[in-house]
This record gives sequence, structure tokens and C-alpha cells, in this order.
Amino acid sequence: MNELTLSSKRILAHAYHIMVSAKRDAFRLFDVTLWPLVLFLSMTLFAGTFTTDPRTTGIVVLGALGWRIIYHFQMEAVQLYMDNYWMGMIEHVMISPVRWWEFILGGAISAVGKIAVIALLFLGLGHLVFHFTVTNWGATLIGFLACAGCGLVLAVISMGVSFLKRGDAFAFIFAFPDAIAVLSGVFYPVTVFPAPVRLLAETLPTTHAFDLLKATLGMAEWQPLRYLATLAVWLVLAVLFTSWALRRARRQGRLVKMK
Amino acid sequence: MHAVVARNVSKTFRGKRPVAALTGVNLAIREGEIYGLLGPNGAGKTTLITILIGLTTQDQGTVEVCGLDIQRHLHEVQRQVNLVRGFSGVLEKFTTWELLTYYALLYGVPRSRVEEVMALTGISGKRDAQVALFSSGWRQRFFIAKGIINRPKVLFMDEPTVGLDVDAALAVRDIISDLNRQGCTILLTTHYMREAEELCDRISLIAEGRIVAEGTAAALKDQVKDEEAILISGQLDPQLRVQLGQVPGVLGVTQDETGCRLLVRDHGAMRPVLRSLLDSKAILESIKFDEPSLEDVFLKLTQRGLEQGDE
Repeated sequence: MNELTLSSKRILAHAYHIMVSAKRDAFRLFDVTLWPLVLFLSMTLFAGTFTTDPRTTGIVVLGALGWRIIYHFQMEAVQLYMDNYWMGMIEHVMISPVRWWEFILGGAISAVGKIAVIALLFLGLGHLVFHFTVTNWGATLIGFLACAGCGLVLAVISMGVSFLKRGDAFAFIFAFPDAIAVLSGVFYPVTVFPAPVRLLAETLPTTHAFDLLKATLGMAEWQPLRYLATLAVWLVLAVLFTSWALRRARRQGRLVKMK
Repeated sequence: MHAVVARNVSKTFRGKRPVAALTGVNLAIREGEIYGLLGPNGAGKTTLITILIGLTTQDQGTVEVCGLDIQRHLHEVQRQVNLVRGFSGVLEKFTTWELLTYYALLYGVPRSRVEEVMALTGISGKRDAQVALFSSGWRQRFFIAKGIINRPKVLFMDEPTVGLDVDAALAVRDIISDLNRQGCTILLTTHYMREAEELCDRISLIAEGRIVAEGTAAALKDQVKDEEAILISGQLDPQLRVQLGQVPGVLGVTQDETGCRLLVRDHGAMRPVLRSLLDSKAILESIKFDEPSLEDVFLKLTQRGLEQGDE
């Protein structure tokens, strides 16, 4: 069996692991049902109270869905790693010939499944309750893919933090994307920020990913190159960070929970 | 041919209080042998294992497993080794089959291997039961099944019988012997002297991060052939134990849950030991001479018992 086949099996192993966990855990099923629904209805009903502009409903629907895509692409791999860590099984996983990026790709497979459910929920309800319809499916899918790319970059960073901080990693893993969400202008243009903050926002791939979604509603310019450029820079930095973090964690004996 | 070679391996965990976990450790495990690593808690056994399996990097020295340098060929080595350890946690809500399938996929082995390892370890009947709900004996069988899923050339077993009742421990020892007969090299850490003597071809004694002795159980015990061991049943006051340790001719004192063990130079030390015990008015159940054991070798070399921690 060649390395590519073996690697594919390890990626599938992680996706399988997440699927079994989700199947047995009602709380994790809420992740694709109750929590997104609460978020979606809170925001759309709030927006609908103040305006009848369909673009406002549109940006809320697409923005909320875009952010769920980022969340799941980031969290699936990290949660898988932390599950094994908390349950005292991490050394049994890390002793196998697993690579760190295989956690992320396994998580991405699971994320695609969960996002499919959430997308049906958001777009279906958006259409039924608020008469929202996606007008340009091609461009909208590209916008969602852009969000997935941002989620993968955040997953890479979060894996590095998990290697280093172990049980304490979750504080950062939750807080960092939230800070980025504010700066990325998910539901508003980043022009609302003062110049220095706006400059910072422009360096984030998430800002440009949400601009791609807003562009499908005529609320921003369609600039995929800006997105790709910032994503490439963040991806390179994230990979360098996580490779360093793994080496450091190995030096410090942080890949095990053995006493 | 050696399955595992460690040369001059040292490891210090840095921090506010740096801890020198290993200092200049050398060991060479031959292919096909069961090699025991004995030492008290905190002696460095687990750190050494995590270095040998590539999960921690050493500060100095080199490690070769299956003929490959572990730092340069980590993934090639990881395909050929596996780990079983006592007191391992387990993911909740996963069945035996589901967890073993996860590991089978990680190693790229066919799913039929899951059925095979369940049969080999006698857990086929628990295929659809949740591993987290297993008794410690069944759980350890599960971890052995997981440990052999990739047909490892070298299996690292960190206290595999710790916390098991007598029957479960015997069953695990039988499985270890069977695996070894099939050609698997095993590195076993344990607290149990008799287990090490029964299973291991060669044994290393480790204390404070250093290998203090190595050899067959018989050769190691030869180091205390001129000494005597006195076994005192009952709990002794710590102060009395210190006093006994200062009696001329007493080489070491150790206490476990059953009683106190003294290693003495010869019978001549018996009289002052008895005098100290009588003076202390301690309540004793029995006093007898015992066969020299690996515990006594350790006591002689380090002045401490294997059950005592280094911390």
C-alpha cells in the first residue's frame, strides 16, 4: 500500500471517529441543529423587525451560514484531537504514523456533512420565512468555499495551539475566531472601522471571503484575488507555526498524557 | 540484531524547576526478547518509553528502533511499533469494534484484522459493548488488541497489569508470552518483581533517570547472593524504619502494604535489628528470612524500594 493510500485511510479514520462521536452524543447533534437554528432565527428575526430590504435578510442568511462553515472547518479536527487528549488516549493516536494535517482533512470531511445539514436548514428557512433566494449559485458557492478555506487556516493554527497548550487550548480556539469575526465584517462593511483597524481587517482572508458573499448581493466588490493572496499568506504562516508547535510539543513531552 | 538501541539518552524537562528525567541512558533490546524495565514511580520509565516511541524527543543521544533512527524516520518506525499501557483512559460511547476500526484505519490494515485481534485477545464476545464500561481486565485486553492491530515488531507495554486482579493479570501475562512466542519484541515496564522474573529475558533497573543495573533476573539476583533479606509483617512507624536503616549491617529498608523488608549484610545484623524492634514496642505479626529478590538488588544499589516514588 503506498503512502497516499495510507494517508487517505488515516484521513477517513478521523472522519469516522467524529461521525461515531456525533452519532452517540446528543449535545454534538445540537451543533448542527439547535445552536445554528437559535443563531439563525435570532439574527434574521431581529433584522426583519427593522427592515424589509431583502439584501439585509440575504446578508444575515449568507453571513450566518458562512460563519458556521468557518466554525465547523476549524473545530472538527481540534475537537477530535482534544477528545483523545481529555480521555487519556492521545498517545495511542500519536504513536500511529499520523500526520497533523490528516486530522484537519478528516475534520473537513465531517465538516462538509454537517454544513450540508445546516445549509439546508438556513437556506430552506430563509426561503420559507423570509422569501430569500440565492440568485447566483456559482458565485455563492465560491463564497462558501472561500469561508471553508478560512476555516482550514484557523484549523491549522488551532492544531498548533492544541499541541502546545493541550487542555488549555480551547480558550484560545474559541476566542481567536470570535475576534476575527468582529474584524471581518460578517454582517457589515469593514469601512465602519477607523483606518488602522480597517487596515488590519484587510489583512484577514475572512474579510475578503465575506466580501465575496456580499458581492453576490451587490453589497461588495467581487475580488477573489485579494482573498487568495491573504489566504496564501495566512496559510503559509499557519503551517510554519503548527510545524514549529509540533516540534516544540514533542520536545516538551506534550503529545502524551502518560504519568 | 537489536530491535531497540538507546545510546547516551538524556532528557531534562525545562520550566521553573527543571527536572532531569533521564541521564545517559544506554540500552539494547535484542529482537524477539521480552525486556523488563523496573523502577519506582518517577524513575524515568515512562519518559524513556515516550522517547523510544517517538512522542518525546531526547535532548542528547540517539535512539534506533527496528534499525532506524527515530528522529529521522519517525513515521517508518511508528508503523512497526505500538503501545499498551495500564490505567489508560478510553473514549466514551465507542464500542470495541468501532474503536479498533479507528485504529485499523490509522495503520492502514484491513478491517478483517479487527476480528482477528479480538479473537486473539478473547474479546470477540464484547464486540458491540462500550469499552468505557469494561472492567479493568477486559479493558486491558482491549488495549492489547489495539496494541497488536498493526502486527508490531516491537510492542511497548507500560505497566500492563497494574490494577488488575490476579486472574486478569495472569490472562494478560499469558497473552504477552504468546505474542513473544510469535516473534514480537516486548519492552515491559512493571512494578511487579515476580512478573518481571517470570516474563522477562533481561531486566534493567532504573532509578532517578539512570540505569543502575542490567542483566537476567538470575544474574541480577547474584549481586545479593551474600546478603540476607528480613521480612517483617505489619506496618512500622516511619521513624522506626529510619532507625532500622541506621543499624550497622542494614543495607536498606523498604515498606509496602504487606510489611517491611530489610536487606542486611549477613545474619550478624539480626541481633541489633531485633533489639531495635523490641525497644520500639512495635506490634509485629511475624519476622522471617526471605529469598533475595530483584527488590533487594534495587535496594542494595539505590537504598530505596521499587514501590517508593522518587518524588
